[in-house]
Amino acid sequence: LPDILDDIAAAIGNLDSQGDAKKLLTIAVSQGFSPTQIAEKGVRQGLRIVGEKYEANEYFLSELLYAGSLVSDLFELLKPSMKNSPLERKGVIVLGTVKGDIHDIGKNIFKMLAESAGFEVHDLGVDVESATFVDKVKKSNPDVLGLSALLTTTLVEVKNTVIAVGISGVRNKPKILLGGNAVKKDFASEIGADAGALDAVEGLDICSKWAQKRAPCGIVQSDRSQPPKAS
Amino acid sequence: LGTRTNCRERFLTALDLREPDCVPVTDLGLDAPIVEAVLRKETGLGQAEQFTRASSITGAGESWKSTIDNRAAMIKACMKLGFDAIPAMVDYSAVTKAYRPRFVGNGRYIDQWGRIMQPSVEAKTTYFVGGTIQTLEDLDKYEPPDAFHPDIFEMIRTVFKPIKTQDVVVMGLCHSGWHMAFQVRGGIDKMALDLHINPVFARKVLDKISKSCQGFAEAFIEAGADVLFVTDDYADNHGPFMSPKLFREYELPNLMKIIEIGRKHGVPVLKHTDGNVYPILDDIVNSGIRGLHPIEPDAMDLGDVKARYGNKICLLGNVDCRYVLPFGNEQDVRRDVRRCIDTAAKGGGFVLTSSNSIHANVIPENVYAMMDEARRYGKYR
Repeated sequence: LPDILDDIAAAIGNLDSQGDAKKLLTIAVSQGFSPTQIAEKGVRQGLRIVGEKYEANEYFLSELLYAGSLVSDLFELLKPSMKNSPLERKGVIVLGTVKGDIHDIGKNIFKMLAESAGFEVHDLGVDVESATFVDKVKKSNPDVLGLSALLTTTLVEVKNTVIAVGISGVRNKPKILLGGNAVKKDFASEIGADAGALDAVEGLDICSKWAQKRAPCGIVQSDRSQPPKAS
Repeated sequence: LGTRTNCRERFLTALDLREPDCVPVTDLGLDAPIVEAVLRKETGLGQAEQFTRASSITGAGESWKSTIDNRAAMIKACMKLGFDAIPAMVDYSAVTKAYRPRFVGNGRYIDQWGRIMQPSVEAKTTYFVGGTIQTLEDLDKYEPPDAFHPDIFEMIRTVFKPIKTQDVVVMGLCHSGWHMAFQVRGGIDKMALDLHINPVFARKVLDKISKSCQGFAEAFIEAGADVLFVTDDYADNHGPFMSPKLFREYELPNLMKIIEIGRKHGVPVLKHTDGNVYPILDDIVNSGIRGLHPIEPDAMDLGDVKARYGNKICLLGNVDCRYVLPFGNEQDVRRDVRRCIDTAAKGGGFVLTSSNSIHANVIPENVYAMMDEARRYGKYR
């Protein structure tokens, strides 16, 4: 791996403690690395390091958020280079907090991480009706449908949404991922979802593994003129 | 109010890490529909109608008078249930007589702390959805509530008065800083990022709010609280919102100031926090708290915390209010109560509570089952 990309990843991994992440990215661009190389081997690799440290309790929520903000800034810096060479899209995620629940911090952190990792995320917001999820799945044909619920009392809405997606005839493509404080892994399997994530990092890890299984033919190449938004 | 025996001694003995006659019971609070259900069952419709149905109990005081009425109704319900300690007053409910919620559209309003709140009829509660401090200028203009404002202090004393002569422990629920700070700032994410990107700003927000919180701790004690319960959440199920280093730098000193206020007056300080606080647990326990609540199931292990810290602090918890109390049947509840008692009651130093609070979607009958099983199964002698 070229040193400069390694250095970018390390800088993000240590939360840019030296304050040189932007400078390193600029050097990588000037050395002729493609946006895809810089994004994948540098920036996203750095975010993966942060995720590992978060899972190992070396980093905590505030460090995760800070890393997300740093990565967002780096993608902004990379944007001009991406005009002629858009980044590869890893997949499409439709995301929302189910009806009756308006909590969104965990969902928003997952969204930030997923976009930084190369997924195109369609966020439907909070208090989302099951019919709205179904309509969006029909329109966007996502690889993943993410349902979030913090309140255990809205778990019934999670189940209703999974059922609604099933009876609408669009259940065959999207994997359904559940997240939020209310969700236990066994609940996901009980109601016919594909997985439950205990936190945003695990959720991204699950989506990334699903994307790898689809690759190479399953990964959808970007058909957009603009690259994925970083945050 | 119902006949009560030995409640104060029972609760305070448990805090002293000794065995009382039976495991004491309390909770952080009862949401409005539970209060209504208990009062309806115990006293009939007439009494229940005293309860205004406003959302004051969940932090959205409609007015000075309705807030007092709602706190009084909640206290009455706690007494009817037989709690040994009563979560009588909470700092986020305290308002002046002139206060009125400032509505900002879509049913949302700004409360007395500067939080943006959203009542939800469906969820039977009021959510925090945003804050009003976005800039340093906002912060400079911001005035948190003053616990010693004559109206607020009168409210606290009025709420405490009927139970001060009862055989029950009066608890004042306050914050140390972090929780109200992130809410006024607009969310955990904003405040957590501030700690890294704008630490001077974060420090100023925390300083201003923690001083107000300390005022409430002082006011609760002056008005007669037997126990302070500090309720800032420090973690989600994965772990703390900030690193141990940042916690020690920004929030632990705030907690220790509340503990010092309690110590000065001989009032025990209990600590509530949701989530997995293992990485900062030594700091919290060694801060001088007398008890920890609720050792959240699925995030922490009650038995493990009992084994490691049971000789230092009282544990309060942790009947599951995520699944068992809202969805379980009577036998599920009784089984979970026995789990808690079997795990943590031996030798004393344990108070039975739910794993957060008796929230709006708990089945009221399950609260009675919880109380009944605690009294039957929780006997020490």
